[in-house]
Amino acid sequence: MCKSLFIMDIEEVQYLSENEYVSIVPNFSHPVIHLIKGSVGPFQPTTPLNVPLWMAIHLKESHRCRFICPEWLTYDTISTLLKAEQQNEHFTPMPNRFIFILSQTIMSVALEDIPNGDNIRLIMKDLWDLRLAKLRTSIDSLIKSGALYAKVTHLTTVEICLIRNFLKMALKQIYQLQQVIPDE
Amino acid sequence: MSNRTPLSASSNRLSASASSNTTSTSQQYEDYFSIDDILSTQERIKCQLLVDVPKLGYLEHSGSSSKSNDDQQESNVSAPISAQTKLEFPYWMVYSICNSKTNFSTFELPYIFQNIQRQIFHADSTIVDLHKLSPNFYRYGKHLLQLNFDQDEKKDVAMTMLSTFQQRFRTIMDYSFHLTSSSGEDIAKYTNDKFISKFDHFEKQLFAIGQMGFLDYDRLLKNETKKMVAPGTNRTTISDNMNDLTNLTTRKRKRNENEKE
Repeated sequence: MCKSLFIMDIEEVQYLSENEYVSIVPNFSHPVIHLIKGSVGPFQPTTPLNVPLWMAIHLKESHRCRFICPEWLTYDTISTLLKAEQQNEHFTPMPNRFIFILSQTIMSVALEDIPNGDNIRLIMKDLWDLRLAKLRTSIDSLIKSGALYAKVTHLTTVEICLIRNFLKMALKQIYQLQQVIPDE
Repeated sequence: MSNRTPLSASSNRLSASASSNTTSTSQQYEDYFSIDDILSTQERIKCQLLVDVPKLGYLEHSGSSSKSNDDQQESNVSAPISAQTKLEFPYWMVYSICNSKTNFSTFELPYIFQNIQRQIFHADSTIVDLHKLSPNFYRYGKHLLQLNFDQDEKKDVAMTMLSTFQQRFRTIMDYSFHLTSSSGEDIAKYTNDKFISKFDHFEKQLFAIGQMGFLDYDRLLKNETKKMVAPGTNRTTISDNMNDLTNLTTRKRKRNENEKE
């Protein structure tokens, strides 16, 4: 998670999320491609393989492959996650730290390859709203307690990205207001 | 007046940095060029002088008889301003004449920080219209605490500010996280909202920052993030300007050459 400290805005989060691997089924053959992050291929028609998401998007847009729905993006997985999130008072671990951004990207590029895609989109929105509500409650109690730090677990990168500047500014204000309280 | 104020404010900062209080020094340097900070030192405070000040009689305009003719005004200029006179001074001046070393006057706490208003804050701070009462509430309060007054009252003022912010925070957060549904609209539009118009200046900035995060997420959902935006939106105008500039210089050079011929 320490990598996420260097992420500045949502564009960068999205950029980094596209380094995640997804499975595709190509409809062409090509030898192995050597990339900085590792080699990809060889491409054989109808043989599934893992490629970085950015490459998958590119191939999909030029109609050279179809996506295989990742395991964490099925209706069953997401609804299990949603249930766990509803039952647990705290944040529950997500299968992927880019889950909200990846699902958005994949479904905007290859909705037809995701079975039950529209329902997944709805249920993802529920999950997001639920987590956001939790986030707001916990931020509020953090500010009210007057503490300057808190331990959070299982936050995804988008969520961190959303609240970073806001929380930073609020905490700084709390700190400054605490500093001016005269000592006994 | 407008010309003089930033200077006097900054001299106030310098004297503050000379004091031994290190925490407040680092805070002040951080805001050194902040316009908000300079503006927040302009607030007027009611003061009562403890000593006679020679040659400043003209400050006491309203105090002298209103029927003053020219002679009287002239004599007023050189007349001393006597002790016990009540005057309003801006904060930066009060800071210099009313600290522990130079106790030239007493001052009255501004209304927003007085006990009666503090009780209102303790009851429910979310309904107070800070924008109307004190647009730079937190900054002004932080400045005031550097002045020399009763320690218990000082502490109460500081605690009130802290709890006010903590109580009002929820409203700010809820607003900044919710209004995004109508994204793309200017944030300034919301300043007329009946709750947001009650925020003080800092709270408004906090609200705007929270909104920016959520507008970003909104853009993500609409697949607008991938659109490449040229760095600096007025890039074309800059190049246009450059063209104009080169045109101008070549024209000038030609003219010079013509004149030489």
